[in-house]
Amino acid sequence: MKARSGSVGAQKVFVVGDNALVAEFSLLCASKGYFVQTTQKILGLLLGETQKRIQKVQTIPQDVALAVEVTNLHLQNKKKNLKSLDQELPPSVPILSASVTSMITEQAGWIKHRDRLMGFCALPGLFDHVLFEVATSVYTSNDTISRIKEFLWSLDREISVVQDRVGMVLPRIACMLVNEAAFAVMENVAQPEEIDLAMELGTNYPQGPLKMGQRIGFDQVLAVLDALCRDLGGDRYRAAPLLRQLCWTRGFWGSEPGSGN
Amino acid sequence: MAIESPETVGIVGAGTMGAGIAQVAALSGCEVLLHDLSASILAGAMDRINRELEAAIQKGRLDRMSKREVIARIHPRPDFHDLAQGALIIEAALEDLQVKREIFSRLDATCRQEAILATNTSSLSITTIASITKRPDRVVGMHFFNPAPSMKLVEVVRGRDTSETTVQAVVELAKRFGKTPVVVKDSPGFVVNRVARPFYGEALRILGEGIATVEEIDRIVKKEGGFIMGPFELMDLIGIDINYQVTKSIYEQSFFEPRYRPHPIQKQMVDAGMLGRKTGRGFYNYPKEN
Repeated sequence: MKARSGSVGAQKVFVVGDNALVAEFSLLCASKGYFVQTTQKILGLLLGETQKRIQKVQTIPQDVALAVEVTNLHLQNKKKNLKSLDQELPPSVPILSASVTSMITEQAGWIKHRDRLMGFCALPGLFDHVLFEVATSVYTSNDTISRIKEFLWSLDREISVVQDRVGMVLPRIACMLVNEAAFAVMENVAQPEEIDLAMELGTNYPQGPLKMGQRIGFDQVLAVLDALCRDLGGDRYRAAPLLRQLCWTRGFWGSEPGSGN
Repeated sequence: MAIESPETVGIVGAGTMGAGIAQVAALSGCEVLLHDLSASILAGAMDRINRELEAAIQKGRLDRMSKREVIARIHPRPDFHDLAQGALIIEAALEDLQVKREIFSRLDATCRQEAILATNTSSLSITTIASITKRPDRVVGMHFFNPAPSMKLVEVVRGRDTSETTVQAVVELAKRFGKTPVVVKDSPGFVVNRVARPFYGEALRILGEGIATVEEIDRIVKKEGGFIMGPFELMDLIGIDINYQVTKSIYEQSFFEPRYRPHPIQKQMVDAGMLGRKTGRGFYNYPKEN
């Protein structure tokens, strides 16, 4: 699939899911020449030509080359979205779905045309990086795999195929770093800003873990940890209670309370 | 209250960290009493500091005159009692509680009453070390990172009885050394070693569960996450034995909190002598250059 040439579905992509992820992923697709349609209102994207390629529609369009489902937060919404996509779209249209907080194998069980579904790692703040983790279920067809790989390559991204597991690779590591920092704040080990400062100077992470959590969104971090807890059991992935509070206050620094997703 | 920075700093232990701290202190203008029981370790430390300062001259960051002055400020002292002149002592000996308790007991008996006794421990409790002395209010953690001359961070660890004056004095000293101090509570792993645990622990579990290979996990963490190094490259660099020891220490001190549980892969590699770069073999192979 090439964004600017070819004829299949006029290179339209339909994107649905968590607001932050829909906005970031739509922007990425549009910046690579795709026409993006979504039923959600996207705020804060004032980027001229790129923005013109993003269109709000009322219903799921029939003529898209590919559909992308990016819900991590509320899995009942994800199930509803995937069912609608499966019913509305011709069976030949591949569906790429975030498989961070539920396995793609589980999601395949929610729809009829299971062969068209493939999972990927969607987390806010990661779409400007150069690689996507992907995962397949036992049902995913070779045709789906090759078309989705072509699509991700057309976004100038590398691909790493990992086993289909909750948290995949990066979200599990990153969200546990955020969680550990949140526990340290709760236990008064140091001030939040000081914890980030110490981590920035003492390790070579790109940013302190609390800033990282703020960028990803504490609601997303919590969703990943809760999913790991459900999936793996035990105490290890228990979220710091402070993280739940941060979902409502939207973080430590200069943020408006009460606007949690 | 204005806190005067001590002019004479004593350092116990002239290994890699002790030598690095001595260099930093002397560069900031302090007189340094560098103590080690072994004359050869002391000589090695002076050699090392000489080489580092020479490299700084080559890079244009130091002139020859200053180098001579810096070296002249570092006084190798094989006799423990010479530390009595120090206004502040930084202990950088073996990371072993018994060893440190013995040193602190001797420091307490040797040093002036008002002297501050700091430990460069990365994992032991300041409160426990302080309890052996009669001046727990003047015992504090001063955790430098390796290599001490270039790493900017110093964790200033406040023990249960450490006074605010002591904390502030060490904060000021760290600033004088050109470091960025962060004050932390005396708790397992302090901030950096603790908060970094999941970077290794989760990566090891992801590997152990067969979700992705060593190479793929490192590639994902770097290219999808924007990290400069992947967890396995970093473990190889730090030393798998060192990393395993830190993990074990925090795990045991926290009464086996599952988040810090070490992974069997670590133990297996340590037992087999695959310690990372330093042994030529860790998660990756490092062929010896001929």
